[in-house]
Amino acid sequence: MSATTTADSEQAAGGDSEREHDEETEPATALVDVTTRETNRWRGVTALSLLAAAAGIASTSPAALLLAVLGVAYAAYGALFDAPSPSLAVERTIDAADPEPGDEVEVSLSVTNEGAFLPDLRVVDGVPEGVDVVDGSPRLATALRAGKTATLRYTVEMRRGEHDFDGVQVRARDVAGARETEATVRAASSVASVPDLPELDAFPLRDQTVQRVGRVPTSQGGSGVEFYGTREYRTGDPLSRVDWTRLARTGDLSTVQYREERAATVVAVVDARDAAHVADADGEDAVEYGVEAAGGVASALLDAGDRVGVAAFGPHWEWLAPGSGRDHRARLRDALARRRGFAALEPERRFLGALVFRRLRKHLPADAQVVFCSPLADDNAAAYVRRLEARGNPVTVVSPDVTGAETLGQQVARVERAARIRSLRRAGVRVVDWPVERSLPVAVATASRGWSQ
Amino acid sequence: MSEFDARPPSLAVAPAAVAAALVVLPVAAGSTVGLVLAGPGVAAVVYGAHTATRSYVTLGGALAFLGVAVAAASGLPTALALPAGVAALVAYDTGEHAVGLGVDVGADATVAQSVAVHTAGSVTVASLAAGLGYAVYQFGPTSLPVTGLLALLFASVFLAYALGD
Amino acid sequence: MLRRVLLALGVLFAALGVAVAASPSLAATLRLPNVPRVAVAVLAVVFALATHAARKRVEFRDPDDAVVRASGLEDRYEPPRPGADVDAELAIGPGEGASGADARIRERLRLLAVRVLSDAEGWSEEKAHRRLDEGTWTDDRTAAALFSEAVDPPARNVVVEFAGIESTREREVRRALAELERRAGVGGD
Repeated sequence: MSATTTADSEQAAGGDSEREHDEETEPATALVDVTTRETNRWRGVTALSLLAAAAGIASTSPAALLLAVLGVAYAAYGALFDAPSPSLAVERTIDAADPEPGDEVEVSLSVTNEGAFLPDLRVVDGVPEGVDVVDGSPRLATALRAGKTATLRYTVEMRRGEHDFDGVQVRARDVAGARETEATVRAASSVASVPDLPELDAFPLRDQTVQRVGRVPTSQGGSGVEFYGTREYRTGDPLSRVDWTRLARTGDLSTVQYREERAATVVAVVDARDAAHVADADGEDAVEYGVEAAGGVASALLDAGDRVGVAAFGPHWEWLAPGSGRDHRARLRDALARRRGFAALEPERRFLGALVFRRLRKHLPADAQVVFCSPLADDNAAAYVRRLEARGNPVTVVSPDVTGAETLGQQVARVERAARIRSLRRAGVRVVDWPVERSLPVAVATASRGWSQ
Repeated sequence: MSEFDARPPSLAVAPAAVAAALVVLPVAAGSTVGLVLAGPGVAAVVYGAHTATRSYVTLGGALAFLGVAVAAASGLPTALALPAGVAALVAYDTGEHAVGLGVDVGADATVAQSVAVHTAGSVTVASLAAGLGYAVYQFGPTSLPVTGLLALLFASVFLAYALGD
Repeated sequence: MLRRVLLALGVLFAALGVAVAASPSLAATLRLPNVPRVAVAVLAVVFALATHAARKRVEFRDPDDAVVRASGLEDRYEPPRPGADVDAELAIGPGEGASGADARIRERLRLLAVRVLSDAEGWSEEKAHRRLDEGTWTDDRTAAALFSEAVDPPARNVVVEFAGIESTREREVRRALAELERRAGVGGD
C-alpha cells in the first residue's frame, strides 16, 4: 500500500496528519530565498582574445585574429541572456505506510516547469537529517521545457523517529551559464517510524518503602498477594485468612500471612547529553540503545502493573509522567519514538547541567525509582546517578557498552567505563552492563542473577 | 552510497574529452609549438573536469586556446586553426560546466539533459562566430594596415568591457 | 552610462577599422600614425593581464564548499567512538600544543590508574599516587615509565620508533593500559 504524502503550500495545515491519508493537496509553488548572481565563468575570455589578437598582429596572421573574434563572441554570448526566473511546482511522494526501522522507503520528487524554458536546472531535495540515502540520488541536473516535468527518485533507509523533509533547493542558469538564480521551494513532508516497545519479560526493581499496593516486595508481612508464612491465630484475624488445611491436619489454628506488594513508580531516564552520543563499531549511537533500554524496561514494568514514565536528560529535555494502562503504553511508545530529546541526532542546544538536573529533580516523584540508561561515557554520568541516589531515588543503571579496543583512545575509554561501573556497584547501585552485541533480555538476566532481593 | 561525491558524472566530462581531441588533431597536423601548449592544456581541462578542480580547467583552457593562437600565428592554415579554436573554447566551457555540476549534484545524479543543452549552445555559438569570421575573411580585404588593426583592437576591448566581461 | 560610452567607442573604432580595410588609402588621408606592431602587441598583452587579474577576484563555488554545505544530505549523523578525543590528543605530533595535550593525557591516565588501583588493590589514594610516582605498582617497566620519572624504560626499540610505527609515549600508554585492564578485570571479548 502506498501513501501519498504530498507537499503542502506555504500555509501548511497545522498539526501532523496521519501518514495513511491519501490527501491530494496542491503541489507547492512557493519560492523563497530567491537570489540571483553572476557566475563570472566567462571572465577572462576577453583577455585571451586580446592575447590571440596580439599574436595575430605580431605575426600578421589572419587566423589568429579570427581566433580573437571567437573569444569576443563568447564574451558576447555570456552577456546576452538574463538570469532565469523559474516558476516551478514540486510534488513529493513517499511510498511508505507505517515503516519499521530498517525498511527501505522510496521517495519521488517531481518538478514541473510552469514558466519559460529552463536550459539548466539543478534540483536538490531536502533529505531529513536522520535517514541515510541508500539508492539513487536526491539530486538532479536537467533542462526543462515549459510545461514539462522531471522526476527524481531515491531510496532512504528508515530509522526510528519522526523525519521532516526540508524544502527543495533549485538553481537555474541561462544557456551560457553566466547568470544563475537560486531559490528554495517549500515542500514539507514527513515520515515517521514508531517501533513497538522492545520485548523484555522482567526487570527487577530495588527494595524501597512505598505507599501504594502493587508489586515491589517489602519485608513486612501484611495483607497483600504473595505467600509469606503462617503465624498463630490472633483474635480478630479475618476468617478468610485462616489456614483451614493445617487446622484439618494438625488441629492448630493459624493465619496465613502474605507479603505486602506495592506498585512501584519508575522513571526511565535516557542520558542524551553530548557526551552520551558515542558510537559503537557499526556507527550506532549509544542514545539509540539507551532508548531501546528505556523502552524495554517500560514494557516489562508496565506488564507487571507498575507505573512508568520516561525522561530525556539532555539539551532537549523531555518528560512523560509515570502512569499505567494501555493508553499510557501507547503514549510512551510514541514519545520514545518521536520526541526530539530521544532522537539519535547531534544535539542542537547547549546543555546546562545544573538547570536540567534541577528540572529532573522537580518532576521526579519522591518515591520513584530511576532506571538510568546511559553508556557511562563520562564521569558526569556517574555523578548524576550518585546525586539521585543521595536524594532518595534508588537508581538502577542500564549501560550499553559501545566501547571498542581498536585504538589507544578506545581502550582508555573502555577502562574508564569499567572503573565507573565498579565504583557505582560498590556504592550500592545496580548496574546492568549491556554489551550491545547481545540482546537486552540476556544482559538483564545475567546481571540480575548477581543481585540479591 | 552514503557519501556525497562532489565530482561530475562521466557523462558531463565526455564532451570536454571529445573537444580536447578536436583541438589536438588539427594543431598536431600543423605546428609543434602550438602543440606544446595546447596538448597539456586540453589534458589539464579533461583532468580538471574529471577531478572537479576548477583551476586546472581554467588554466588548461587558457593554455589550449593560446596554443591554437600560437599555432595560427606560426602558420597553421585557417581551415585547421578555426575548428581547433572552437574546440578549445568548447572544451573549457563544457569542462567548467562539468565542475559546476559536480559541485551541485555530484557523481550519482542524472545530468544528461543539462549537459546536452549546454554543449549544444556552446558549439552553436562558436561555430556561428567562426563561420561568420571565416566568411568575412574570405570575402573581405586581403591585407590590413596596422592602423586598421589597432583600431580593431581598441574596438574589441571597448566592446568587451561594454558587454561586461 | 560608462557602458554606453564604451559601446559607442567600440563601434566607432570598429567602423574605422572596417573603413581602413575597405579603402587602405584612407589611412594616409587621415594621417594616422603608423604604430609599430610591437607596441600594439604589448598593449594587447597589458589588456589581457588586466582582465586576468579581474578574474582572480571572483569566488567560484568550489568542491570544498560543497563538501561542507550540502554533502551531509545523503548520510545521517554518525557520532564519534568513545575515546576519540584521547586519540585526537595522542595524534598531536611535535609542535604547537603538543606539550599541553601530553600533560592532559598523562593527567587523565593517572586519575584512571589511581581509581583502578585503589579499587583492585584496596590502596588509599595517597598510596596509589606514591606507588605510581615510584613506579612500584607494576613489574612492567615500560608501563611504569609513563607515570614515573624515576623509572627508565627498557632500551627503546629504535627501529620501531624510527619507522614511526609507534612512539615511545604510545608504547608506554599501551603497556600501562594493558596492565590496568588486567587489574580492573576488563577485556577479552
